[in-house]
Amino acid sequence: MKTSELATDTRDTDGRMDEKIRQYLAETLLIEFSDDASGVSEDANLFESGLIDSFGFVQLVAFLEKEFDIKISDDEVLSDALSSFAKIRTFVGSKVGE
Amino acid sequence: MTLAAAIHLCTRCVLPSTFPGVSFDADGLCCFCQDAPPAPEFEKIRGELRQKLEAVFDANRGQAEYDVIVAFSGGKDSSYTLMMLTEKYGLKCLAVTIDNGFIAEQAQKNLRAVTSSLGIDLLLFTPAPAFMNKLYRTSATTPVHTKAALTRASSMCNSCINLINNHMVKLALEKAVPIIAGGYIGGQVPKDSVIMQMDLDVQARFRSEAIKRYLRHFGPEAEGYFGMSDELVKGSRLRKLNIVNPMLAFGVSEDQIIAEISKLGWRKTADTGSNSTNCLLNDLGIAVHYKQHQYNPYVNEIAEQVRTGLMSREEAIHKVQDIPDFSRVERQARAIGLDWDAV
Repeated sequence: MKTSELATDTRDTDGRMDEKIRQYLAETLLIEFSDDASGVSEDANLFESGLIDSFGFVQLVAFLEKEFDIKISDDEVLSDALSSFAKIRTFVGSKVGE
Repeated sequence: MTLAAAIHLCTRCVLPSTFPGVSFDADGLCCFCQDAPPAPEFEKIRGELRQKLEAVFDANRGQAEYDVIVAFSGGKDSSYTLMMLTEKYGLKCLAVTIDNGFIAEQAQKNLRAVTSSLGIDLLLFTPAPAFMNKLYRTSATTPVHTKAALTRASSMCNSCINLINNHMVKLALEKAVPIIAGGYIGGQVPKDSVIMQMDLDVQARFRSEAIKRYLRHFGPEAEGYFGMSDELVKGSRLRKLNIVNPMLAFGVSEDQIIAEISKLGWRKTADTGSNSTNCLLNDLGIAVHYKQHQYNPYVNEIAEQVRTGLMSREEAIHKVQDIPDFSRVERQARAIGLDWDAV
């Protein structure tokens, strides 16, 4: 594979991952992200803003592990790695690449 | 009161067009039914879940004074759960009831009849009525819970359930009981919550966020009902708790449940509406939720029962359309000091 093809492939993979997480958060946890003032910012802390409760978090971790075939450790669960959409995207991207 | 004519229901499961996040295909099938297997296939899934439940029970039996704490409302589902855990699985259960001040008289008789018939201990906790009334009143008029939580129960029920859950966890830690069981059925809790292992450190993180919200909404007394001391968490020999919802694995219809628990002396209540078998406030919670969100807060669980083959569509339509109007819940609203216009 040429370098340019690899770059395109990586962007496509990232795009699909982004869309899957976004879709899950919208359909299951009913969190819609947008840049306008009425929406939720991708950097917003989902716990502090009361958008995810403990049930929602358990569901989210189970979804990410199953959908992306990754294992999330207790330490990672306790860290801030899953506290916003932007952080979830970065975290999953790094785990998938491991 | 019945549903507004503009609201249409899924052709398989009765989920309404007003339900958050729902979409329909050209045949009127909702997005959840499009992804769901045919009803008979759910029995295979439930069989696998029952095996996993048994493994959890076997791994934790005989480690403490009680094997499991059962959140027992006296309603049909928690009565059936208690019966199954005691009689089929041979677990030593402690039944724990939170008296919210609105348990119907027949349901109070059922609490005693079921536990007495099964020969198990019953612990009753009655939070201060003034606090409970404030909790219900505030929940009816203020956004306290996540949107996702409101698809599973009314705001008033969510607040009560969270208080109950916190009390159960505290008791489990105090007594080192490794399992907590609820009588929740499909749609009331997420699908993957038949068995959840609760890490106490993770839970502490959510509790610290939740408690800020509860203190803001319900006042300083909320600390006693929704908080948990570090001494209790760190002093307990348990580091993880098993939270189980066995009804998700049992696969029994309402008629089958009632037939079984009737043998224990359980009798149906006549004053708790068509969606509850224990709480006199339930219809008020439904009426408030419908006024605010235009769908019955029980519709998710009812739709799941239809989807999984445990309820007929006709019966489901009857239940979903039974929305209490204000005249039916006026007395309950007065009891908690709720101004209907503030809803």
